[in-house]
Amino acid sequence: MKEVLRKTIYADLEDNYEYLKDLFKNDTDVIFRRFYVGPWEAAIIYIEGLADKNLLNDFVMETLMIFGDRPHKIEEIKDTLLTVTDISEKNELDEAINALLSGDTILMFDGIEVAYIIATRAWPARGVSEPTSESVLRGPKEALVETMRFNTALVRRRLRDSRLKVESTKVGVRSKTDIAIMYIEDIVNQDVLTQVREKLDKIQIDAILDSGYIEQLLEGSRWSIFPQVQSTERPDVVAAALLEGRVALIVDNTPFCVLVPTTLAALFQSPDDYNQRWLYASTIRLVRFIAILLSIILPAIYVSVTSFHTAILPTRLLYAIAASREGVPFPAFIETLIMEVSMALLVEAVLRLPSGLGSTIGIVGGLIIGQAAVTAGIVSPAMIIIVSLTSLTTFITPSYEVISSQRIIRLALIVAASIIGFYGIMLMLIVFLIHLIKLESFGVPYMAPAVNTRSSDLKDLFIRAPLQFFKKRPAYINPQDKIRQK
Amino acid sequence: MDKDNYITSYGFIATIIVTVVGIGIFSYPRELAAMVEGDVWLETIIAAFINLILLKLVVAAIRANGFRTITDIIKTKFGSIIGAVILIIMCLPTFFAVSLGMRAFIEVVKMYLLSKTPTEFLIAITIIAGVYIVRGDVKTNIKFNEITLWIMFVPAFIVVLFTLNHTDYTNILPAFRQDIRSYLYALPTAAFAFTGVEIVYIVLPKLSNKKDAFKGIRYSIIFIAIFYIIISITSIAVLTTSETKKLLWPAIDLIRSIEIPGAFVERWDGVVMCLWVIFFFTTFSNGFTYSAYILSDALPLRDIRFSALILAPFIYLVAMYPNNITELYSVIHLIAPFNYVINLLIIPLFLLMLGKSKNNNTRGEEA
Amino acid sequence: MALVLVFMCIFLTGCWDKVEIDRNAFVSVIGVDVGKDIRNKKALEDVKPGEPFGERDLKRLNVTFAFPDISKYTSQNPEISSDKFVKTPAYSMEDALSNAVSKSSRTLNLGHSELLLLSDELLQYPEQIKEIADFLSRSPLVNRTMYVVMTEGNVEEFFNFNIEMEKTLGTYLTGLMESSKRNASILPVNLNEFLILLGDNGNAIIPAIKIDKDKNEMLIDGIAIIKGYKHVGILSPQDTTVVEMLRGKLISGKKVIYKDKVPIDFEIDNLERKIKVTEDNGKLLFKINIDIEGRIKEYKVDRELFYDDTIEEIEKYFSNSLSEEGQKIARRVQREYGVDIFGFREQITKFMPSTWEKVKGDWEKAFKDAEIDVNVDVKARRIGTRK
Repeated sequence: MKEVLRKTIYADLEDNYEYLKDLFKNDTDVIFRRFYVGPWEAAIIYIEGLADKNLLNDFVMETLMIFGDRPHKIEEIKDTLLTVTDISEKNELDEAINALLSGDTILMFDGIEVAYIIATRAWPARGVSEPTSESVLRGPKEALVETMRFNTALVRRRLRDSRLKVESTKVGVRSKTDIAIMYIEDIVNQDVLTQVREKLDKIQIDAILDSGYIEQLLEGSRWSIFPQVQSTERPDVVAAALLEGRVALIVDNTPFCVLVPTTLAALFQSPDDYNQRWLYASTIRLVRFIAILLSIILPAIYVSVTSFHTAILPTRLLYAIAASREGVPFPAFIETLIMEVSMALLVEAVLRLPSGLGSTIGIVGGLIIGQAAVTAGIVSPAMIIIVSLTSLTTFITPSYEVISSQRIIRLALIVAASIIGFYGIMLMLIVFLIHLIKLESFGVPYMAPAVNTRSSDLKDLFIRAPLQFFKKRPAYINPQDKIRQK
Repeated sequence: MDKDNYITSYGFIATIIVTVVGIGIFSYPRELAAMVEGDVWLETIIAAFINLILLKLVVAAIRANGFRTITDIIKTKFGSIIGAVILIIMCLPTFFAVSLGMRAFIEVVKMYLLSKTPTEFLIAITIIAGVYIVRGDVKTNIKFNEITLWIMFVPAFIVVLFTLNHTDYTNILPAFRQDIRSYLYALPTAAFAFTGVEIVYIVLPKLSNKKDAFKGIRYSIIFIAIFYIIISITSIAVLTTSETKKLLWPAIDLIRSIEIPGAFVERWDGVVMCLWVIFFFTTFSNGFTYSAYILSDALPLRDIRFSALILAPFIYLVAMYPNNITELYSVIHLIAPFNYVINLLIIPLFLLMLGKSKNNNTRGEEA
Repeated sequence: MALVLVFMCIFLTGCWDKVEIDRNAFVSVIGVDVGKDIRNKKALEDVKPGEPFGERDLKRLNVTFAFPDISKYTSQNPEISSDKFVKTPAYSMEDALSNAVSKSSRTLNLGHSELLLLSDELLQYPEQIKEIADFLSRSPLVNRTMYVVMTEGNVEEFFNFNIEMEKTLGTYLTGLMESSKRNASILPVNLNEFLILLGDNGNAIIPAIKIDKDKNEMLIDGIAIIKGYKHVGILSPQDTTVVEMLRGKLISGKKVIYKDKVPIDFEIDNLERKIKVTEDNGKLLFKINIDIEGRIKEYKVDRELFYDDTIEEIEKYFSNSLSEEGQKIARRVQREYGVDIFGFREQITKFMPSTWEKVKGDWEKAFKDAEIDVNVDVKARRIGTRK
């Protein structure tokens, strides 16, 4: 049902007042106060908990009531008496009501058809703390918070450039969530910006409760396993993305900011890669790359090597594996599935547990269940090794969404391996590769810079070249200003 | 990046290389050694030359026609109906080549990896994967090529490095002892190993920097020739000429002879087989894209996706047609010359002449 | 649509090639003996091409497949305790394999076999050997790096023999083969080399083992020479060392000479061989030049070696002695067996193709008639840590 609000503000205070009182008649947290400013009657309306009462008391009520007889006309009050920095006039009542619901205060006078909106937003907010999922060794330990304005501030601090723009828009019929579109106007790819604006305008949902909603409503391909936008909690990551020519969407009520466009490579980067020296960073990048490959194919290789192509292993290893699998009731395929599922369950469980218990249960679960399973003969020891290696390598991935994608790919590969061994693994990998190649994020190919390669882009793919070589911005995003460093 | 001319010269070169180098390299050493013993390298160089000249012809022909797509050129010159017939004839050899090539590859897979899985199943799922990539249009295929170039050749060269331990290069001798006629007879076989270069027809019009076309084909042919030479010579050096002549797929047995004691994987043939899946798949997908692309313009189907779906069952039928492996190879040898004569000789000459007669001043400098 | 395909693939197919690892029997040793019908050539000659053959009970071979008993193999105790065997008579290798499969509860996996044993009796039937060689080279799954050994006597005896050092025959013999780096009297030949050699001209050399009944030991008895797919002779272990030297494959070994009634032991560190072929009016001259580097290991406590001329003298003695030995063995192999195991043929075909044209018609005769000249040059580089 569409929200219907009256638009007109009458000069008669009583009329407006009664309307508002009626609108909020069951809301005990909407506070109404009538008072006199000199000879004129006034009323303020605010929502307790959302508005800053102290500001109202000290800087609005006090000055208005005590010095109310100074101004000669009503219209002067705003400019001479109201000792607040952020005040605006609204001619439409519905806009005023929206502002009220966002935490601002409505100030109305009897005799003018205008409502003054005083910015008094102050709600209980979490302080700036460490990021929950993206910790680094070297780099700031600040994370974004739930208040959009604070977040934009955190990013502004890092980019004190007049060309950094913060546009605002509201999305969500009932939630009217504030969304800040941040970009650097002479670097950003204008195409992407336009696309973002258009898509946001088209959203007709009742509430945006988290940036995840925005992500899902914005992305081009629902069926793909890979996310087409990047989400981050870290203001430094946001700043870096803006400098590449990307667009950041900061959504109120969530510390996760959405970055578009994104590429596969971006999902596997971490600020550590840039804050550290290039040798270390390159090594870590290579290790990460190998780890990711391993995490996808290891269980599938186990299945195909033991069931199909035993000739590959060295003989002694083969004997060891064969001996360890004597007496195990399940074929390798089922064994692998069992372990995959239990690992997934374990991870999910640990995530929901309060943090104190979390690590303990993790260790307990892993050790005991694994050990017990082996002793009971349900799985073979080789399988446990495979699973632990897989888990280790999976958690190297910096982004959580990608971890679930990895899990799905791994599963698909295991199934393919159990049907036709190595050939199945290869075909499946090729199919995934093709899928990734076709994928686009807001016009930027997902697999860039591996495709459409420009040699200048290779410096940041598998290794990280010394900072002195980072002279141009990544070309695949097509920024306007191409030079980064001289 | 221009929407229509988006292929970089790297993409161009990668596409040509990756399309040509397919499963042919498995049997190439045998086919040539059987005719010219250790002088395989000589034949390869001459064959590379021939192909280079033919490719230059193609590029010149397309350039003389304003770098329009081949379907465009033929339809404007010959009209829709005849043009369609010509186009279908053009894409037929490639179509047969990839279907039979697929069968040859699946035979290898069955031999070394999966003996009991039915051929039909393997062919069917490979075709499905092929349809998936063709649906993404030429663009996707080019990107795929750019990535797979690295995936294919870096491990290939590493593997060759590992074989160096067992090589005895004197196995190539005696040199130049064969009858001059054997050298001539072997030339077609060597030249046909470069089949796949007709992909240039659809890639060239989309090349962003047209001046790089000649350089591009030169680099690709040189690269392919060097690769073939290295593989053949290494096969002979490790396995000796007489053995190379007898084994169906000497390149694979070359890999199986590698022994790295103490390494985690003791016998590498299975692992390398997987990498060779990519060799095959690139050739297959590019050939498939080529046929589907030409077909989609020849017949009034607008979308490459339709023609891909139409071609798929035919590929299956053709692939299943030969009864055994000897029949397979004889059919392959039958088809190969057609590809060359039609696509690389007749068509470009036609186009050159017709293009020249239209625009007398498009004969630019050779790069 | 993709999902539908995926589900189809999963549910409508079977895993055709899947064999669970514990249902595999990894054959480690293949032993081939003659069967009772090996001499029965007539039976084969009667068969007309269209007739069904399979019903004939022709047992030309006795094949044994040995595979390790893995059930006791744990990481704490990584030892194969014993072998299990599947023995079957058959008319060909492939038949043996299928018979064995029908007899065993597990799938026979030949991909990890380490050893192929051929009995000397079997090697008297060239036709049979040709068939076996064809089977092995045609099968892609057979392990081409397995060692080939000839047994003096029936293979079965060897399997039943109790070896002290190792638990299983396969482990013992492969261990021996691999220790050939230290022991020059063993010349390991793997299947790949064997097949290539045989394929060239039907000649090959493989190590031979025998059981010494008096001392109750199993020993490597030098190398067996195979000519035309048939076993024609054996070279003793001492001769094998010399042959290795002549082939240029000797990596280390020992030689002894007597000087002033004192034995001096010399250990070879390094060996380089060059062969030269010259042709004089249809007659070939083979020259083998060998450069050996080594160290003197044992002399006598009250004599000293540390003088230039002493060492030179010793070197000369060694050179002469080795040259003579080399010459003798080479001539013997040449005259008695007529098998070119030294690589002269390759030398001629590769580097002297016009000569090859002349002699290839009757290579064996040209080889037998040729002159062989062996020249060894010994340098003693080290004498240990004592003067």
